Amino acid sequence: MISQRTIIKMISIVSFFLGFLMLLLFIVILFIFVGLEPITSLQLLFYYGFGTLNYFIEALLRGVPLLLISLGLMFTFMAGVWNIGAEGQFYVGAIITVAIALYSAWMPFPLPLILATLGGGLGGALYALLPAYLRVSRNINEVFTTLMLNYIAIYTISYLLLGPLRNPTTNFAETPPVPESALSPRILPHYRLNWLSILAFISIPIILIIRNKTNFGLSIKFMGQNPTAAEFIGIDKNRLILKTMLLSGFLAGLAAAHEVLGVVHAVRQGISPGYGYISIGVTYFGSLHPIGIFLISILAAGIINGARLVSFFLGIPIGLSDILFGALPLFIFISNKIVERLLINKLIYGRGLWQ
Amino acid sequence: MVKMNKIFPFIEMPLNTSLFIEMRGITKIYLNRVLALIDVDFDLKPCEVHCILGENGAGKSTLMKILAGVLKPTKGEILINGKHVVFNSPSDAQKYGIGMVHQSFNLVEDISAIDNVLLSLPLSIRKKLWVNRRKFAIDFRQFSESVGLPIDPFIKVKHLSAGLKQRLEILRLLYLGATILIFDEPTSMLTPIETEELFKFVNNIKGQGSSIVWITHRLNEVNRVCDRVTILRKGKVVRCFTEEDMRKGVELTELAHYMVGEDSLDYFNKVKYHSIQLQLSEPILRIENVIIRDDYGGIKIKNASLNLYKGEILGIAGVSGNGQKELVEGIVGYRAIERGKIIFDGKDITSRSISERLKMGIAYIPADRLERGIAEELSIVENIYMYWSNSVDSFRKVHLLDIGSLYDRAINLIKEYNIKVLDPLFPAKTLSGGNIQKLIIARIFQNPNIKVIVAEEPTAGLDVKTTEFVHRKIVEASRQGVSFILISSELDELLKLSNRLAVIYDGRITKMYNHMNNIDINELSKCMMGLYN
Repeated sequence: MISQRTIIKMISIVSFFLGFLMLLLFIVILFIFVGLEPITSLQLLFYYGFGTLNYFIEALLRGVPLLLISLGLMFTFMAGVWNIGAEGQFYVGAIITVAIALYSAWMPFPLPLILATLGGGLGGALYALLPAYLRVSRNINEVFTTLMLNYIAIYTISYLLLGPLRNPTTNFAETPPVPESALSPRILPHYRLNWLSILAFISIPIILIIRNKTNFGLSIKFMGQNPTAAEFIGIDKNRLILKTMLLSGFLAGLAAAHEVLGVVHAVRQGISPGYGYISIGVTYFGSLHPIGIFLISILAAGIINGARLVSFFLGIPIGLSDILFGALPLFIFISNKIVERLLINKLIYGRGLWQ
Repeated sequence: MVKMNKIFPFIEMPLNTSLFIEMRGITKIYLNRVLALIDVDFDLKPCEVHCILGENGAGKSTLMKILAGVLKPTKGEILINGKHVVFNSPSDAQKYGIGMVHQSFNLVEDISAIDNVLLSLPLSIRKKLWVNRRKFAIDFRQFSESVGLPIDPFIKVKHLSAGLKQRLEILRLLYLGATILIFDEPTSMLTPIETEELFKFVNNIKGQGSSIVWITHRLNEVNRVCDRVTILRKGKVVRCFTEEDMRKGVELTELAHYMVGEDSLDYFNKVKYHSIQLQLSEPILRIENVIIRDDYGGIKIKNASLNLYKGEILGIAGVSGNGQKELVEGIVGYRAIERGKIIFDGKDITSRSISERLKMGIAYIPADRLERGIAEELSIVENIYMYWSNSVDSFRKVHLLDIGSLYDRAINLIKEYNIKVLDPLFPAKTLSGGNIQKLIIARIFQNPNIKVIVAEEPTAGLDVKTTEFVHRKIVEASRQGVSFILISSELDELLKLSNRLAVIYDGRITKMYNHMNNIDINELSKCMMGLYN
């Protein structure tokens, strides 16, 4: 007989695929809505997402920022801290990365790269510190502060790009290009995948260990489940909130450093197509687990790339992928609820379906 | 028949005739393998109080939840007046006038009493766009007075005491036409006075045609209210006492014998533990003139001072609501101390946080186990070792926890304390109340740093055997030098365990008994009521 534990695990997998099916269905409906032939368009979407080695590596590359941000969000969501501000933390991380890279260009090769990367991470962390501090000391809900700070970050950086940091040679609204000595070197010629991307993939097992084997990770889980009891078993709630927010901000900043030093090589307006928001869906779709988050972020990245190319070639609005990822969290919650109601209640607690 | 309200002529009332309920061959299997009930027969006659007696986890609540439509039986049938019925939900049972007062209240805290009643109206009325709340409120107040349980319909539920919340639940059921009331451990949350009132009410309503199922594990309630008794043990009916048996009077020890299935019941021999001499040297915990506010900003603890010595059990007696909760929360660090000092082991800890105090050695056995003790969704073992990894220094200083050995230690503990688990990796919510308490106590006693334990109602809702177990553990620990502050609404428990006894009344320590040998119970209860200076 299959043990109950296996059933619970299987249930979470079933829930995952149900969510994925709903996502596909939603894409199909979207395609029909904009007047495309759904099945071939879906095939095209996945071809442009993952079809060739080039497209696949591009998906990996775009997956990196999603992965890093989602890993950070995973900790906050597990702790019951709702950091919606990854987007703002990403922008702050990006601008600090580029600033350090520009001003330390005179140093020998790996130094500017390392400094800029760390600086980006710390920038993101500092930007997360403000809402975390307000939450801890004044009990101000972090949902509002993080969300509002996103706009402050985005528009401040917009001002910087149009004003003080504007590229003097091209006069575009972007910073001067990152100097050679701060660029993250590519692994393969002709492909944009670089060593910072590898760093992101290496971080997965580390995060996994932190999540499952350290007191920090386990305390977070406990606090997320029952914050009151957490205090009574000796968990220092405030410190943990600060730590998770800082970690989450740091990872968002690292994601920004990867984009700036490895992919775009400058900061421009709209450098993030909403990574911070998409990651919220990715984190939940990955069921708050590093491996799940890894798979989902690659999948999401492929769909973003695919949707962009499909929109480009078939002449449909480019906002398609935005709609998709806006709706993503919805599917996850729906599928989780359905599966929970249908199976868990029935199997484990012997209750009827709708009670 | 209880007088029904005037504005409900439209509620279905098949209930003018009295109901005779039979449950036949009820079997309930949880989790596909745990047998909660095995072939249980039960019946309920009109105008009687039928008591279901049993230990924690004997299946009492399961049986009645089936009758109330909350759970579905795996096998078996329910007959009402000889007619076969199937309940798919509690509202199905409600149609037949069966209502259950659960152990934990089903009330919305933030709205008023009358709104809570309106929320459970049948859909046909709730669907109306506009409900005359005032009219309902006036009617509800009249109704509550006519039943003999007056309540203010506009008061917010969160301002009600546990007793009044229960009263509101009862009234709501009656108001909606229930004639069969199921009480699940009704007295566990009540003060002695409220309990008396409930007994009176039950006797009163019985005469008016309602029948009552009284689930309990407290033996002394049986002779007070019950007409018949069914004793459950491990999901089976072990004994039924008929009216005649009850009229003859049953020995409590006999009931206990059937309930526990063991002859040795030293619980009833009232062993007094407090014979050891204390070394009254320097107190380990000194509470000096503390003032503590309650949730609403009023001063609840008005200048209380206490000394706790090493290895003693200091009982605090008092009618609940006199500041016990605030005092406990002040000592463990959950509630800020307005003025005064708490000195632990020579250090001023007045402004330290809960986790700092826990690391220094002040542990807490909470009355609210689910809210303050465990994370229900996490596994049983995690609930155990998370406590150690956060409060024991040797674990806290390790960066990578050795989950394997922690798991083994937790498993050993589960065996040692005989905690009944289906699977140690299942969520903690699969444990019964008594086993959750064992878990909480086990992990505290496993922590070598602990010097003071604040035990708040440590045996509330536990059966005889577990209560005895908890008492033994407390006494053992105190012999090893751990000091206890014991707060309990059970006077027996306090008298049995305490080395010294303080009486709290209206936020002040009004009396201190330094010797337990010659306590005059009358004087003590007068102190608790504030009648004695």
